[in-house]
Order: sequence, then structure tokens, then C-alpha cells
Amino acid sequence: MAAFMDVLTWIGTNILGQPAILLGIVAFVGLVLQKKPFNEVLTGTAKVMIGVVMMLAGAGLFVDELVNFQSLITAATGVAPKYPPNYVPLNDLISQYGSYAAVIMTVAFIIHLILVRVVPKLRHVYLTGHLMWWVSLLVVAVILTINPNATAKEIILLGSVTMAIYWTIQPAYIHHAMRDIIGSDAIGYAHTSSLVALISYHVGKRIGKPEESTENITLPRALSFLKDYAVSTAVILGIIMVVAAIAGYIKTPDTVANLAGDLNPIIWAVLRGVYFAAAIVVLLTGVKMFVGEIVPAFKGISEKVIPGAIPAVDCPVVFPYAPTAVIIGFLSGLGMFLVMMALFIATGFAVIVPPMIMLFFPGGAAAVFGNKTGGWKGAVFAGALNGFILAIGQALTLQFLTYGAELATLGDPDWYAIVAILKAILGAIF
Amino acid sequence: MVKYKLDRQLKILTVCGVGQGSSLIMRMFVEDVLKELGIPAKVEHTELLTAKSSDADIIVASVIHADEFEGSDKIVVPLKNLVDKEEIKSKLLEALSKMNAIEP
Repeated sequence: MAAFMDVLTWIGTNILGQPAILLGIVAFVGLVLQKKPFNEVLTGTAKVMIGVVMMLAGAGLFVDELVNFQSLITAATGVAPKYPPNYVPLNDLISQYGSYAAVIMTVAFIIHLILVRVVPKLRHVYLTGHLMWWVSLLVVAVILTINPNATAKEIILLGSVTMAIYWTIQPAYIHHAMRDIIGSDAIGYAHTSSLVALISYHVGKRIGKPEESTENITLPRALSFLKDYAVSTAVILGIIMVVAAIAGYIKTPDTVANLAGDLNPIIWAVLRGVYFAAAIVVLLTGVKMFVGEIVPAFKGISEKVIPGAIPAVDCPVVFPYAPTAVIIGFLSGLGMFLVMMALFIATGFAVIVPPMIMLFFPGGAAAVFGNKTGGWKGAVFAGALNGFILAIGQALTLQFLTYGAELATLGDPDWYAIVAILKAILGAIF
Repeated sequence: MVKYKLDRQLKILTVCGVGQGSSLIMRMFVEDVLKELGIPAKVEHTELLTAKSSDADIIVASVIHADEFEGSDKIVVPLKNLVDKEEIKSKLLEALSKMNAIEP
């Protein structure tokens, strides 16, 4: 018995406790099952492991920049960020519990396939791999926040069931709107912006007309830089940081000088925008490297197990159906978010960070849905609703998540709904 | 099946805004189509940021990103429906004959 416990402890420490090793094994098995040649198995496995380490490095950089951002806003406005006391930063959450997210992702996908196979009305296979990873991690964070003593078995079981249910029903409840946009049943919509997209689709009918489509509008070409999330993150956060540095310098010069160290505060502020964008690029490149090896394996399995199922894919798949709406949705969302940010600061409620990727992708996609039924008014509404939900959701979730609070600033609209629902259910269980 | 003329593997890059989701989905569909056509190729997915500096033969992207590659010498395949195999196949064949990689 003691020897058996030793083996379990060894596996726990060396495999489950090391996301790079565990995800490397998952990719290795997946590639072997796909009967890939040896060199591809080796390359794929190595890329996954490097990707995980890059993700950890990126998460560390991201957390650092978040701290800088919030310290500067505090210096400029006197409003302090409200993190939960004794919280565990995102990079620690990933290095300690990242493997749980990986196991949940795999187990939940299997349960999801069974559900799609058995329930005739549910036909979509969820294939948006990077979100499968992030939401699995989010669920781990929520479970640990509510019960820090939850066992590995509890976390994996609860997490897998939650994710399997979400991945199965989300593409189904939005499918009628998706069919209207792409004109066929060939693909589904698998993205954590579904609530905003669905609400926008139905509200669009009431506030506008499809004839007033955004696609009759020509936007200035200069706005096309916004399509590049790294550039828009660096520019928008850079501007906010510079304004805050000037305001902070007038109010509390010593604090700002301390933050900037040897650098001129303006130069320091400009660099923060650039570092923010770079941190996100590193973080996402890491995720891309391991998701890129795991998802094709998932697709291969689902095609064998469930012939005729509908692949549900990432949100940019709707962008070509209304490219102008995408930009309009992003701009109205950014505008709304900045207004909310000012409002929060003025009332001392919370410090939040404009999440450019989440304003662009969910806002842009929802605007395509809103435009379909309500023209430009629907698109503007969709973006604004997205900005509103992101601001409130980020502020509340940031104060709630004891584990990986920074996840709140990386979240899409559905995340906040998942956090709220899980919080209510788990509060009753534990 | 078409006759492939290059003496090396074809290099294709699928591109989307963040290089996470839809580029990966496109990659899997492009791989399926190439397999069907019997063309030896290495397909990778990435984000706009790094796509322009790559050495890929062909770039596959959504129509909304196609103008980002204006002025570069890359052959761009703009897709309206990112996962429509028929569209992918006909546009890829067009691109391949343009770069003289297949028998007409």
C-alpha cells in the first residue's frame, strides 16, 4: 500500500504537477494514434512542451504588466485595484494546476463526444481548442476559489462535467442565428462570446432593420490597424498609460518616479503599452503551440466516432459575412469600455484593463449577428453590450477569483456567466 | 488527383487575427483538401503579425485579411467561408497553377 501511494505521489509530482510533461504526453499519444511519421511525432511533442513553457513565461510577463498598470492608475486616481487577499497569481495557477486543466480538457471532450453521439438534437462538436484550454483553467480557478481544499478527483470531475455540458449546448442554442448568417448547417459557432452574439441577434430585430446593413458603409482604411490585436493593445494601453503617468506625476510625483525607476515616466509609460502587447503575444503563442497539436487529434477522433456531426468553430468564421460590422462592433465596445472605466474610477468601484482581444473578437462577432437582424444599429448595440458586460464581469470576477484573478482580464462574456453559475452551484455543494 | 511539379514539399500558411482558432481550423481543412489532391505539403497556422515575414509559398486567410498582404510577393488565397472544402479546393488549384506548381 505504501509503495502504491509512492507511485501515485511520484506521478502527481512529476507528471500531473508538470503541465509541460503532461501535455507533451497527450500530444505524443495523439500523434502516435494518428499514425504520424516519427519525425512529426518528435517535432509535435517538443513544440507542445516548448509552447507550455512559453505560455508560463508569457503569463508571468502579463501579470507584471497588470501590476504596473494598476499601480499607475492608483497613483493617478487614488483608486486601488481590489484583488482578493492572498490571491494566487495566474502564472502560479498555471504551473501548479495547469495539468488539471489539461486533464479536464481531455476528459470533458470525451464526455462531450458521448453526449453528441447519444442526444439526437445535439449535433455540434466543439473544436475551438484555445478556448477549451482557457475555460478549463477558469473552471479550475473557480472550484479552488470556492473550496481551496478540493481534491484532484473533485476538481477533475466537476470541471469535466461543467465543460462537457457547456461545449455541447453552446453551439446548439446559437445555431438558428448561425444558420441565418452563413446560410447553411455546415458549421456551428463555438466561442465564449455566444451570449452577447445571441442577445444582439434577437435585440437587433427590435431596434433596427436588416436593410440598414453596416456593409453599405465604407470605413476609413486607417482603421484597419485595429485588426491587429498586438498593435491595438500597444497603442490603446500605451495612450492610457501615458495619460495616467502625466496625471499621476502631477498628483504624486514620487510614486510615479518610483515606478519608472531610472527612466523618464513618459518613456516608461510608452514601454508599458509595448510590454503589455508583447506579453500577450508570448502567452498566446505558447497556447497556440500546444493547442495546434492537440486539436487535430480531437478532430480526427470525432470524425471517426460521430460521422455527420457538425464541426463548431471559432468566431472569426462569421467575420467575412460582415467585415465592416466587425470594426463597428469593436469601436462601440471600446468606447463603452472606456466610459465604464472612467465611471468605475470616478466612483472608486474598481480598476479594470481594456482587453483589446476580447473587445475585438466577441464584439466583432456579436456585431455580425446584430447587423444581420438590425443593421448598423444592431452592430453598435452588440459592441456596446459586449463592452458593458466585459467591464462589469472583469471588475467583479477580478475581486472574486482567489486563484488566477488575472484570468478575469483575459475573459470573454460567457466566462463571467460560467463563473456566476458555477459559484452558485458550487456554493451549494461545498 | 493533379500532377504536382515541384521537387519539394509545398509550404502553406493559414492566417488569422490571433493565430489561435480559425487559422488552426483552416489548417485542418486545407490539409484535408491537399491530401485529397495528393499534393505533398507542410501546412502551418499563425497570426497576421508574423505571417508577412514567413517563407511560405501560399498564404490562406479570410477575405477580411487579404488586403494585409497587398504589395508582398506572396500568393494569397482569400476565403469567404473558412471551412468550405469546395471553395478551398478551387482557390488552391487556381493559386497552384498560377505559381506553376501543377500540370494545367
